[in-house]
Amino acid sequence: MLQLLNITFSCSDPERLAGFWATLLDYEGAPAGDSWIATDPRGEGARLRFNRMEKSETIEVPIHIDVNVPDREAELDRILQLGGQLVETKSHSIGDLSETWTVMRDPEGNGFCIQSPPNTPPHRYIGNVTFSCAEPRQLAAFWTEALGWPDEEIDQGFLQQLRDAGVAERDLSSLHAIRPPNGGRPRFLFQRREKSRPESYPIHLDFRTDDREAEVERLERAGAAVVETKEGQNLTFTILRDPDGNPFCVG
Amino acid sequence: MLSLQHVTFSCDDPGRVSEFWAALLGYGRAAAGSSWLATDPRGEDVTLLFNKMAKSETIEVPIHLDINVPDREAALDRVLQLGGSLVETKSYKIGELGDSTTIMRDPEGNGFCLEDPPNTERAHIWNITFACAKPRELGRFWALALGWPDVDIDESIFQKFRDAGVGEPDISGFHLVRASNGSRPRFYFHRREKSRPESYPMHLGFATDDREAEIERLVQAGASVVETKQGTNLTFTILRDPEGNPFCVG
Repeated sequence: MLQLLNITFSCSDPERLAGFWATLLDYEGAPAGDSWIATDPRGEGARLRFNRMEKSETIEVPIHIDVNVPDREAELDRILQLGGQLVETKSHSIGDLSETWTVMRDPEGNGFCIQSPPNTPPHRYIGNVTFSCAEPRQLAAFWTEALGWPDEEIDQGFLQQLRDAGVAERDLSSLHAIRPPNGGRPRFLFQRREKSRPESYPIHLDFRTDDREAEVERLERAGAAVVETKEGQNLTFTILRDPDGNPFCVG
Repeated sequence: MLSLQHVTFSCDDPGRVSEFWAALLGYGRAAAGSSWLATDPRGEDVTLLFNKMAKSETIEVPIHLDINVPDREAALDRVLQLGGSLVETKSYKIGELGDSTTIMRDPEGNGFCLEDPPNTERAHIWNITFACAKPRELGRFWALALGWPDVDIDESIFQKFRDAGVGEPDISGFHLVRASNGSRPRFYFHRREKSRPESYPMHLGFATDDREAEIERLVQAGASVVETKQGTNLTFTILRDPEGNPFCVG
């Protein structure tokens, strides 16, 4: 099985970007060679890594982060002070269901969302890693197998509410989430959304595993494709692509 | 110059889709061979043409229609009764600016938007909206093609965005062109990743006085020619705009 090690940003100024995200999430930033790492002092949240690496321009990012915060409006102002930018605050409603979130950009232009869902804990944390994809259920099935996370069935009552509001069958399958079995975070959220297909992804995921070679074979059978295996100083890792073309690393 | 003649839908069932759109917009409709036409009896708004033609599945449609209605909630119910479906109602807010749109689908899944700005007396097609990489540049191409003025967006709106914390490239994320006499529809361009289907579910058909001269002019402006077809009554050329959107000139 894979375990999430890092959410990795390709950036032109790792120290600056690590500082932004560490402050935003109440993490601690530290240099690691040419890179920077930001970790949750509570030991709960996913680790962020900032590498000085090429990235392509995107219109719609293939992978982004959703940050849950106690107070979205206050957070918006705070993020602007930290050097982030606003895209827009969006609300959507379908029948009686509704949700509001604010789309922002970090200092290097990476889009992310902030939201304050009900019963949010009193601290900031990464709620979702969100993938834009053509078929949310299919891509979620791959990641369920890769991570050994149980498939989260969508509540039938919820689907019926959407149907009653006039949503067609195809749009009912436009969202799917999987989450760690122990209620850990972040969830992986898959939404049907056209995305840019950049040469170099601005964000990718790094995983660790006990037996890299066996794991890579298993992932290939599940639908991943191997790009290449690289020998670092202390670590050998393999770059793969998931069935939708999103790159990830297994070390 | 081009003048917009039709918004053309590729359909599995032209009769059914034309019925939906005619009822929604208060248009009359008539069969034209295996196609259907829906026209505004008042002669004000753009004619819709429904062809039986292959279309590819899309996630984000490259071109869609924005419909203005007197009452968005009532129109939502009406669309559902006519056989459409709901995607979602979306609101956005940037500082003081804000707006609400209901996204729906016609019976063949074509996405479109409903809005209800003040003083809207009846349902009509307000925008033809293009998802594109470069709104300003694509807008300029279409202004040139249609002989419409090439006017920048009011700088005070950009300043409101800046004051709310919006940065580049989001400030220049949209552009708008319209005829100088204010006639409808407007052409709206927003920066949005779009599907690039083999066969577009919707495209625009234009008329012109001198097709060959016009095509030369459009190619100089950045369009590319796909092919010229000879119909029984009409010769027309299929082109693509600088971002690959197909359109016909007859």
